[in-house]
Amino acid sequence: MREVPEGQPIPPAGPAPAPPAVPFSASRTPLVQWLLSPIALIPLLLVAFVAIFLLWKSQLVWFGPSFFGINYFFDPTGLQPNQFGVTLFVVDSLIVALPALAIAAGLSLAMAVSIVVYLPPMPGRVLTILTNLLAGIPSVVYGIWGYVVLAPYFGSTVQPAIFGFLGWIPGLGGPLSPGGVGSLLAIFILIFMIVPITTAVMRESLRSVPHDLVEAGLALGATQWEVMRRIRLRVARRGLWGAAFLGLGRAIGESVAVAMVIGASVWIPPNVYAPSTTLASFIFYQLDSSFYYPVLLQALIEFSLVLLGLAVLLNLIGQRASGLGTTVVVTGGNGP
Amino acid sequence: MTAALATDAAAVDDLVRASAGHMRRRLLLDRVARYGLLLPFVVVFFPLIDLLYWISETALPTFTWATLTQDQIGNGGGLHAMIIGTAVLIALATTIATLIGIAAGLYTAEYAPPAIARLGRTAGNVLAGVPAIVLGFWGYFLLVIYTGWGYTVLGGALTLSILMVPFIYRTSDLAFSAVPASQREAALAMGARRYQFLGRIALPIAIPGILTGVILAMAIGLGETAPLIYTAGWANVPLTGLFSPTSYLTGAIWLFYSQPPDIGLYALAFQAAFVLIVMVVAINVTLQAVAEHYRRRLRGLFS
Amino acid sequence: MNGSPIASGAPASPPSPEPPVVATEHLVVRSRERVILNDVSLAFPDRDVTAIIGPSGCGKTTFIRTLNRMTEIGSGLMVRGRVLYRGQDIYARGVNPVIVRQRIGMVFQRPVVFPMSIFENVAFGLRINRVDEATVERTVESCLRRAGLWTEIGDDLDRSGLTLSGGQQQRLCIARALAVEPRVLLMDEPTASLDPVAAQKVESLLFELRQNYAVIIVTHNLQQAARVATRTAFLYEGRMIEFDETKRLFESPREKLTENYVTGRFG
Ligand SMILES: Nc1ncnc2c1ncn2[C@@H]1O[C@H](COP(=O)(O)OP(=O)(O)OP(=O)(O)O)[C@@H](O)[C@H]1O
Ligand SMILES: [Mg+2]
Repeated sequence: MREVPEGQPIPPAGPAPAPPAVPFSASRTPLVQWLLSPIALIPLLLVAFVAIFLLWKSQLVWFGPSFFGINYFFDPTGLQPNQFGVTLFVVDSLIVALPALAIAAGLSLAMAVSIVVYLPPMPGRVLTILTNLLAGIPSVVYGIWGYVVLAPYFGSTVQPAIFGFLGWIPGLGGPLSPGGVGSLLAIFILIFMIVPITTAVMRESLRSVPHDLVEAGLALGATQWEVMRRIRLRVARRGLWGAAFLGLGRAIGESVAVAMVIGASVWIPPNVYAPSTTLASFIFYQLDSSFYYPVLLQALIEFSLVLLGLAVLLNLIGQRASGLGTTVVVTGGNGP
Repeated sequence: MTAALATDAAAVDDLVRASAGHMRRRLLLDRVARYGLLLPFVVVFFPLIDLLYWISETALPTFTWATLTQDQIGNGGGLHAMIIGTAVLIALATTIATLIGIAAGLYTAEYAPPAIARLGRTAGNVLAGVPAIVLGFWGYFLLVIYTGWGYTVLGGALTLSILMVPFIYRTSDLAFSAVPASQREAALAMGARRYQFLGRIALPIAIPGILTGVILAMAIGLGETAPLIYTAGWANVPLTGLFSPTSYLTGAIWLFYSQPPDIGLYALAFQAAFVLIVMVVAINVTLQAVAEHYRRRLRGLFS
Repeated sequence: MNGSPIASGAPASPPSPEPPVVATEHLVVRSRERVILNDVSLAFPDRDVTAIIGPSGCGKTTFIRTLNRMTEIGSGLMVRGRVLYRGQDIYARGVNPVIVRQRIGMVFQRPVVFPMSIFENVAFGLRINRVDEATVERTVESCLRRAGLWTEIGDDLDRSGLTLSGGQQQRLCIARALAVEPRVLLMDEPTASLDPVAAQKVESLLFELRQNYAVIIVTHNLQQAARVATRTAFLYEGRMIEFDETKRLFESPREKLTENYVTGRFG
């Protein structure tokens, strides 16, 4: 927040940061705040609610066979009778989610920049509708499409091609997965499910960069690209990271589509071609049988908790990494 | 006067041939960005076209008026009840999620102390990451068993709205945060109260951004199956009230895609997907037009 | 307005010591609904200050924005006629607006400070041109000095530019524009948002700038025009009514409209 030195005139307009949010007139208009605050805390309450529900449903068997047993975290072989090593699934989840998110965010940034900066309004609008359409295609459809249409193609063409060009990168070496199912296909499918989310939020963030700033940059003889790099990205940073965080949810939380194309092997896969199982897809696979096996049900519920924990953790790491907790906010609003 | 002004060679140098060396590189980079950044569209939309073609290929040959107007009977029939179910579910869920999302976004951007704001934003992101099936499971215990409602439209819509809230919440937050400080200063300098500023000035400025979130959330909500399987139940006839069970389009896909392809139900799954896609596009076109209407007034404010 | 005929045709520009560096020929700017600038022909000499005056909404801002192709940026305005920079039409094919804007800089009515340190604000135009660090530092200092900011904030360049006062911000913007080394500087009411003391500083800066630049300044303040500008143009409802030596324009205007305006009878 900007401090206005005493006795100085308040700097006019422009891209000035918002004045401190709390002090002004707060005492005079408590009504709106009063009305808003309970609704506003709903997302927070919902998360707490879901977590508490899960804790309750797991019947707090903290020290039972499944939770917190040493094997629970470190069992490298995966499933043993009544033992569900979660570490494995966390690793598998990350192997799928992080590359998918990174690629999706990169694609989205490019598309958002293109729509906001370079393209005329009409094509931009059409492309916007098309990206939004990606969000509306049911996960099951993505799953079937991946399994029926893409998997054979991945097995015969895509995997060998990537292996041929990039096989020297750790994780991209062989052996290949003949049927095409595996992490790579899951990553590919996930990209389509993340892209609409990240593109929409990135587009809005880039768009809300004040026109004055862009104009001032251009008036100094900068190209649109330079204005983008040096001004837009800087001003829109918070929204761009916000987009990535929102996409992260989809990346680790998507179950159905991933379950249908990932191949359900419970192990730490040797490379991205191999089948594996993410936390969310494992929950999906096992939910039906879990109604008959109480221990399995508890394990699944605890898996959900681990998934929530993972989401929180990745968010915190991301916030730290992006430095959003420390920098001055530029375009208004308060706090990081 | 000016007509007599000769074009001196130095000026041509200055403006036209100046694009040498570093300047040429800068302009080139800009051009590369302008056209190179179109590549991702190809990367993303080429498979999308394949996907759409694949769906239409199975859905359209047997698509008739009856597909829309008949209920599902035996191994055939149409999507009538499911279309109604989906429309009601999405309308209810959108209403709930939009109210919560905007209020929460407004609070986070405008009122919340920084620590709470940070907590809220993280919670929103985390909520977006709760797997849909976990939400469905949660809804099952809470809204089906605990309340004693059984499978209901309302239970389904409530569960669905939880899935949609984070998208509307986070985009509203960003949209309100982006309202320029100059607008705030001008309004408050005129003696407007904060709620007046928010309602009359900040809200109209934020609406295009909020609508983006609503469109996104509606698309995602329309495409979800898992939260509904355990909460909305299934019925072959149209719903009769908020507390009756209902069928819905994604459910048709879910239930019928594994049927043998020579049975009518298999095609029905793809027809359901097709109808869903049409609905998503229709909602998009409509809400985008509204957003554009508001955006036109913001010309000059945002880029 | 008061029924007096509006002068038509291109009025002769006063004799100037040097050939014009910027000139417009039959410039017409229109929006979808109406004509904003109608047939404006003006010539601006190098190393001199020229003022543009006229009632609010007459098209002054639009006019100087066409001089460095800022009208193209999402304004929806159409430009006809020619704008010449040293005889070369800047709207001609093959002329890149980026190069035009490096030669013809602009300072806006309201200061627009980038959300960066003071130093980086001034260095912006240098960074995009990959100037070496030593030169950047030298140029930033000299530009801040010329903008009269160095003595005030020279020891605190890492501060965010947004923490400066309004007057300081405006001078920062001037320094930032100078750092690109333009030939021409367009200023749209640069002192409109400043208090008299800060405005005075900007004005005295103008006296210095005229040694090296062609300065075109839009102002609502007739006294200011009289103080800083050698020549003044009077725009009215999108037309150029009169262009003359400032002293002549104010003391013995040829047009009735000009007389009414400079004597404060309307506007
Ligand atoms: N992008 C635009 N689209 C449509 N009309 C415009 C646009 N820009 C300016 N105008 C109109 O053109 C006229 C001239 O505007 P301009 O900003 O040039 O006036 P001005 O002389 O600078 O006024 P002021 O002294 O108040 O700054 C105004 O009537 C304005 O409404
Ligand atoms: Mg103006």
